[in-house]
Amino acid sequence: MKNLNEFKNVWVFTEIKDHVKVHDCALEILGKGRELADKLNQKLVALVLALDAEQYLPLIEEHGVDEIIYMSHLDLKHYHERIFTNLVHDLVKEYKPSIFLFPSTEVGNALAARIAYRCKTGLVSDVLNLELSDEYGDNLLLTDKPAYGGNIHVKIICPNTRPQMCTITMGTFKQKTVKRKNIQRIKKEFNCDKSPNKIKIIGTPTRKDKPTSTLSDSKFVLGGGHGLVTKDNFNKLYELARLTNGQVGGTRRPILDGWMPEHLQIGISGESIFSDLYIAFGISGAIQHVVGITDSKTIIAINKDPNAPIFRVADYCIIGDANEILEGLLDYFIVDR
Amino acid sequence: MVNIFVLIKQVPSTHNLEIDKKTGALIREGIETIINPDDLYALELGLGLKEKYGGNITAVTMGPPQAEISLRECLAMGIDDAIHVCDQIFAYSDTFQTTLVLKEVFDKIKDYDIIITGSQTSDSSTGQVPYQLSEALDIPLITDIFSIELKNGFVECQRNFGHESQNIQVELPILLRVRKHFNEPRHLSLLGIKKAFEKKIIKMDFNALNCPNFIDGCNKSPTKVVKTAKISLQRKNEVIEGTTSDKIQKILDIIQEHGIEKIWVGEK
Amino acid sequence: MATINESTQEGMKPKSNLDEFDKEKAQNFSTIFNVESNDQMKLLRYGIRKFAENILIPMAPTVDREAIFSWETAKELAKINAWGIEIPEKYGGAQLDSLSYAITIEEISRACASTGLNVSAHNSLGVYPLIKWGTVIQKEKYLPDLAIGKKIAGFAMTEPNAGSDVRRINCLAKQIDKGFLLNGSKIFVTNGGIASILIVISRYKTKNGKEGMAAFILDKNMEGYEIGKIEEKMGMRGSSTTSIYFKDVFIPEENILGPLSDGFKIAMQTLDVGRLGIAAQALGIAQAAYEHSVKYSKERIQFNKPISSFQGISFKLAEMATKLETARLLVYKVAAMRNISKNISKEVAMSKYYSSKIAREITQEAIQIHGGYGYMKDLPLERFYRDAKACEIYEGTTEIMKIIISQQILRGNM
Repeated sequence: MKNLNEFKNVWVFTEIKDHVKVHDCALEILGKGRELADKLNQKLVALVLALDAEQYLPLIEEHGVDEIIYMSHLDLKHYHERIFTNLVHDLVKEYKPSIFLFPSTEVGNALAARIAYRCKTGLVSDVLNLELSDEYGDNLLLTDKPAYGGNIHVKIICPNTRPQMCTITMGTFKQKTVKRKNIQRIKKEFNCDKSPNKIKIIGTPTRKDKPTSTLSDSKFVLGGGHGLVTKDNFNKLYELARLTNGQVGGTRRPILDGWMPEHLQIGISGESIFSDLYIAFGISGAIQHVVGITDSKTIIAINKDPNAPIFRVADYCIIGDANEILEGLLDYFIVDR
Repeated sequence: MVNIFVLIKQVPSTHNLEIDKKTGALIREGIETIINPDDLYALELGLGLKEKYGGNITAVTMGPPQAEISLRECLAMGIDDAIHVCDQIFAYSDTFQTTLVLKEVFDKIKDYDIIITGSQTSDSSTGQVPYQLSEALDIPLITDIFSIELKNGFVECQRNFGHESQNIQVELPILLRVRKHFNEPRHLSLLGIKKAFEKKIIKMDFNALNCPNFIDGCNKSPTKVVKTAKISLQRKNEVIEGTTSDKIQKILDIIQEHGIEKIWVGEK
Repeated sequence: MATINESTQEGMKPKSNLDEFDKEKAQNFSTIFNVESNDQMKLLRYGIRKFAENILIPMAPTVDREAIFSWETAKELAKINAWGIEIPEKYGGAQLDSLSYAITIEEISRACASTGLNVSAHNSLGVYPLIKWGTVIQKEKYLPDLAIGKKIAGFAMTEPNAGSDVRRINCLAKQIDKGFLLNGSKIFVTNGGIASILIVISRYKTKNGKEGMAAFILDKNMEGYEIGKIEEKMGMRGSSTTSIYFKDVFIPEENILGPLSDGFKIAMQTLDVGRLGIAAQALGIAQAAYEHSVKYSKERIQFNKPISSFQGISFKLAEMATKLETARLLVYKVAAMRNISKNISKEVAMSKYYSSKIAREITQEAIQIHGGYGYMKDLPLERFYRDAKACEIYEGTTEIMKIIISQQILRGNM
């Protein structure tokens, strides 16, 4: 077994989003990474692979890094599974980070899983929290994550292998502006095995931006359930969402009734939300739905049944007709036109 | 003839869950288990490909003895064969260990063209195995497809990748990861259920495979669960009283507190 | 005692076509305890239940409110072989046994009793006589379409003046050249409005004066076959119940089902199989009402406690559970007996009588537990109650069941 003491420093894969800017999630992770690095008395290192990487470095330097290791090359403009994996793996072998954190994004998850496999180390995804603890070993990273459909919390360690790796979702941590002294920029030469990619792109790809407001990114979510009774009533949710830049979601029933498309389902077989505010209109609160909303900071529930289970998980309980209340809210938002 | 394999996992139905205090793992005895919901989409894709192009489709699962009924369920859907990778020593494996075992399984199978998985499991939801298996077998992983065509020795897919929609061509063998709601999983038919129990499930235990790097799942998994706790969904539960207008006003106050504002519609 | 399904290869698997039953294995399988632990039965129940919850439950209130039969739903049912549960595989059916049939009907009825009735009447009253008494030609002609629900089957016996008293039927088929001419009418025919194939029990008179009761296979497209109005019923409203009128309907010779004079026997044996279906239906309805009651009583808070903590309510739940368990065991027993070709007349009469009785009682108590909400159409409880009532009446009233049972007892079959 390798000598674990050889592994030092906290690394953050600082993803560049759409070859345009530093991913906000990466900046948030740097905030937490600074905290870990301070406690360990080690360095916080940002890893950047991009085209014209230099342009992103000043912003990163505002977020508490001691060192930035970067590569700049045309072939790094877009994520490429072979190139990125090979490069990052080589860097890990060279620098031996103790902790390696990734944003939980399409790229972050893919890369983290592959690197973890190559390093024969553990990877914990979508952690809720990170801390350092002596309880199970010397200053081990203790990760906290939900499991079993969100009903249970588990704490996980990676005691015997390095690096200790995690992916972290957007909104878990907060960005912190800290400028360290003597930040080092280390430019690495891009030299990558030019073996042909097994995946051939035919024709020209078309730009297809993902919709900016998906449920899991949305700060304000309006949930609709069977208690809205009719399709017309349910449609008022869309209207209210439009007027407030909110996002509509719901339970299984509205999908079956044809009021709402499948991808807006919130819950165990749908999406989870991480909103600041979630309002549930006419939703009973079956566990299958509830597990998708527990990460919302504030929950308001409206249902005419005082014994609806949703009230147990709500911050504000309103016993009333969801339709009436929806109408009332809509009136307020429409009136000043 | 194309050989399709679908990886499935049996997971607990998430109603009443108890944790084993010693291992931190879920006590799997005596609770309702189901095929991981995401895997149903993978099975449906596989069956669709087989129906369109011919070939053989096998469901593979790594799990305790009770996972067998999930394989029967797959057979009942029309899957041709089933492989049950089962051994006490594999218990409590994390994703890395799971990948190691699956690598051995596929090295033994040799003749695989398409391996399909769902996006994540409802119990551990790591989503890592497809990527790690792609590394282990050194075959490309394709995710987020919206159409796929099988040609001679390769596939043509349309997929979303980053902010692009691409048409790609990939030589077999490949790994496919299917997202939720990609298709409509079929129901079990009575005839299918009957036939499912007439088939033989192939069992692979530790001795059948050659797992040099694998020793006891629980002790050698790189990650270790040290504590588990039920999430208490404790919230304020503050009841808002008053007339309907009072209630509406209170909601508006909360909306404002959260910095959510009106968007001006039309001209101002 | 049979082995529980531990390994994949051995273990009890109920055989297919009843005539080809491996009697020895079936004998073992007939032990009721095996049903609950048998993996195949578990998977069957799970598969049908999942289908029922996804497809049937959402539609059930509409089916009841608007009294509709959906051909869309029929197609979905065909995909899972629900229209050909016992039909041999060579005709496109699932060729399953009686227990699989009972569980399928129970699970469908738990979701939507009307659909349960459509399916059970088709399988037991329409299809079963063809499987049992049909000639190869008749089977080849009718079973394939029936197996896939392309055509629905029904059974017509009851007449305005002949309900419990079957021998009073008036329909008469007079023998003519190459067939019979049928005149008369039938009432309360289940699936009447949707059936393409109808098994009709009728009096007959041959050219040389022989008389008796026969079973005929009719096609709704036959000249003179008229479907009457659809009855508005208290419950089972998604099941089409109509009168059928026969005005000089020509029945060709090849449409006689079984030996000509066996009509009464065919009717009675067919009803035996039908009654198993009804017992399973009633069981499913009662099960649904019971599940709702348990859930509601745990969630409904009054006087600062869930109402389940009051014995007035929890005792009701205990009674429901006990009745369900008893009814279910009796259904399993009848199915197991049928699997090994035992005569089920007495036991199935008991099972139908008992299942339908407890279904009425349980659905009634379920409404009571839900209080005001139980009375509202927003919840399905009142529909369960209305649906359950039919089970004590059709395919032989409870009174007839008791006559059958007592006759058997007094004949020495105690």
